[in-house]
Amino acid sequence: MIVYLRIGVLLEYYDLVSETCVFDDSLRMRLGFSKIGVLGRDVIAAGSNRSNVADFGNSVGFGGDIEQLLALAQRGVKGIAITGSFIDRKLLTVMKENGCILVLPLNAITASRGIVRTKNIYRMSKLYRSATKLEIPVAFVSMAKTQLYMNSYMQLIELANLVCADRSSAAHCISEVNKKLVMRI
Amino acid sequence: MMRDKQRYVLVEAYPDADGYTETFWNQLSDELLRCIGETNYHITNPKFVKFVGKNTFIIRTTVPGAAQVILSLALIKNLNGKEIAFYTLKTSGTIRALLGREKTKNKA
Repeated sequence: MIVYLRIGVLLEYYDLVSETCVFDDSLRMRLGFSKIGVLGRDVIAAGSNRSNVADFGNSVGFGGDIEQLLALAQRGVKGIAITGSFIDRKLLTVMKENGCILVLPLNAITASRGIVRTKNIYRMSKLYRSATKLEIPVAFVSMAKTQLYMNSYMQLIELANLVCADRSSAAHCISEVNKKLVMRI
Repeated sequence: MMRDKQRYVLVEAYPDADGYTETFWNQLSDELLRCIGETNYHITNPKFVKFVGKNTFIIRTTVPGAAQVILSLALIKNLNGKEIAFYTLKTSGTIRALLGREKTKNKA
């Protein structure tokens, strides 16, 4: 679905949800996305036991273990989602060298409450700032486990705006970078 | 008297908005107040307009406060102990444009 942004640029928006999330195509259109990728179908979770070792080009590495994420980044996975609270300079440098995308799952904000939500926003904004300093592309995805945690493209832009991305760069992340992440090579 | 410009937001509730009663909006505005904060709520000034479908309704807000309302609706996942999600489908300056009605082409 093609949506006109306020600045007048024609943009298509993409999202990525968890494999447990079930939704129909009419909901995707109502939410304003061209495609909603499903983890396990469109993108492989490289941190899980079900990872396909042969297809690192279509994988996203998940985890909080820095050694594992470093190994995945060196093998050239498409994206890395850091679930731990650390920000490792070496990992970010390896990600930049290998052209990895930093994936920020926004369900950490929408699915939590109170002080946990605040801590997650702080951690994500620090990660975002560190990544943009090194010019690493950042993808904002909802990573919804159920339909309850899915968001429209406008809500994704505002959530990205909360994580200190300004609106135009948030829209760029959700359209261009998410497209790279969701579309199979 | 100068009137402030308004922004209308089309919202879909999932799984359902649980009736069309006034208590639904009271509960939702309480949650919006919690998310936006007491010091910023007057900037957004959200008001319920009407239901336009089974689960779809319109909220009126100020132009500078529209982004805050959209964000807050993304964060609300529980209403009165019941799981619920709100999807912001569209925003517009008029209700007519929001509902996608075609303007009359031949004006006299």
